[in-house]
Amino acid sequence: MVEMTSEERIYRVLQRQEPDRVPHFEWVVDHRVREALYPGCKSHEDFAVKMGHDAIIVDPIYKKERVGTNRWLSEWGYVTQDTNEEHGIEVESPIKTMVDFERFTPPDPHAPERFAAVEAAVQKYKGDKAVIVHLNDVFSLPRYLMSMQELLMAIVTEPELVKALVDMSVNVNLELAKEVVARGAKIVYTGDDYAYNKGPLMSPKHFREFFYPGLCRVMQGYKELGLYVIKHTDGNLWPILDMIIDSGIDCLDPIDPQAGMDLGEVKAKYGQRVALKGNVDCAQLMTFGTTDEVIEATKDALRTGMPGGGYILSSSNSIHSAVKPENYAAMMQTLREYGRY
Amino acid sequence: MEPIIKEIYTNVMEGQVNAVKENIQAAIDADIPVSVILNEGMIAAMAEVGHLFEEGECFVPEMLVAARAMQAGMALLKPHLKNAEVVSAGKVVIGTVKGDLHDIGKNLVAMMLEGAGFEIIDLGTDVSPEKFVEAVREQGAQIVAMSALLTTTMPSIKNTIDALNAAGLRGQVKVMIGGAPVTQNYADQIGADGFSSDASRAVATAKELVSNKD
Repeated sequence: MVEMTSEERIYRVLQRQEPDRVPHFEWVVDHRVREALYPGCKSHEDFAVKMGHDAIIVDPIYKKERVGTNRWLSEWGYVTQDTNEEHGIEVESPIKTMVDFERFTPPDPHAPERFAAVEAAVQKYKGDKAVIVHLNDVFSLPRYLMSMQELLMAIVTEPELVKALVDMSVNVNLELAKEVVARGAKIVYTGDDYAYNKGPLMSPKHFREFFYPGLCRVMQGYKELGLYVIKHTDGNLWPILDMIIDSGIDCLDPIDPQAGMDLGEVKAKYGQRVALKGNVDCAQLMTFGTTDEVIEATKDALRTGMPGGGYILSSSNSIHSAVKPENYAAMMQTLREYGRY
Repeated sequence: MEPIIKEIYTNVMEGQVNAVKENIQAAIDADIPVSVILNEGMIAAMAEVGHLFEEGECFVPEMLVAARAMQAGMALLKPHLKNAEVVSAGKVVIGTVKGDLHDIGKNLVAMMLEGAGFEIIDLGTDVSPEKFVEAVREQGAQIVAMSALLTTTMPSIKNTIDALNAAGLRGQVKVMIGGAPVTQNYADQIGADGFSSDASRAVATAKELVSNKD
């Protein structure tokens, strides 16, 4: 098969077809791993190019204001605290009641400066690499705005508030998506996590009532705008996976092995309807395992995911700071040797 | 079971904060022994919540709401427990380890342990080994419970065990651990006394640890 561009390769996979070879990219690669593999590497984008990722990941730009040591106030009104990792975590949330919600105004999705990075990436990589823009769907924004614990309790105690927050998240993200499309990007990903090792954070009944309608609306909205959608969520999704797939996503990520999700099982059940990305374990294997073990796991993932196309190889979450650089390099080398159709 | 105790049990299970407070007060006023209110009304209700969670019939929202009602009830009951000389199941120092800010798992474990009659000293998140050691030294805990959600912060668990050793306190506490990347294997490797995979199973682990004081 003629060598495709990365962009073509990714589109073929999202169309559930066979490309020339299995593509690869990661949402996050910790700066220490980047530096170990490519000393002097300036950014995730720089690394992605050097490492041969097939996609460039871009975020909308939100202002943030320092409000303490390692603490930042987001334009959305929640405060995050930096950790040693590439991402912070929300520590203070502005919405506690319906009154707070009614007074709340989300940041303008059409603010001109918000998509400067998306525009630059599309211009630079058009015809070369796929550009994937990070938006949200139904859980992350309600979680940041209320805190995870309060949001989950509010499912029982303040159902109308939860529904209102989900609605707002969908509305804002569909407006953001219009700006994404206007700049020529064709793929979005959402990373709202619904589950943990044991299962979904809420009952399937609650997921159906509170999150599924909004999920359908946002995914179908993205599709109507002509976008491909990659849906990331950690955890054991089986009790709610039908709903996630039914919402209209193009690709599911990462098929979390730490939660007992099996790539083969998911492919057998849903491979006709969605592409899959994942799932070499980064929690234990890529961190504590040997390169030989990583090589075997990568071959296994390729054997399972490749048939018929519709598969992107990646870690089971991200290349975080404890992943041994040599293990990531081994995964990539195995992909180069065994990932051709 | 006294009807009022049955009501308290239901109030906790359903997360009815106001009703649980009213009914606990009514039970106290009716001279029902506080140990009965505690054990048959509240602890039994939280044990059932834990059981339903393990069976996959109850999820995090329902658990949190029940725990909140339990905590409201406990606050009312606490002064009476002291007077009635009701002894706690044990004292637990709990926290998410240094470098880690995730708290919901740790909070759930703390709630479930409190609901099982343990006394909880919650150190919060990003807790240094020194802070765990200080809390054990000053509060005389029987159990140190640590949570880590990131593979990258798991080493802080071992660092805390080492710090307890260095402070000469390791022998007087049992260490139990949990969190998404944590496994039984890891617990065995680093010399933790117990591991549990969720907040409900943490109760069984803690009970076992306080009963096996070897």
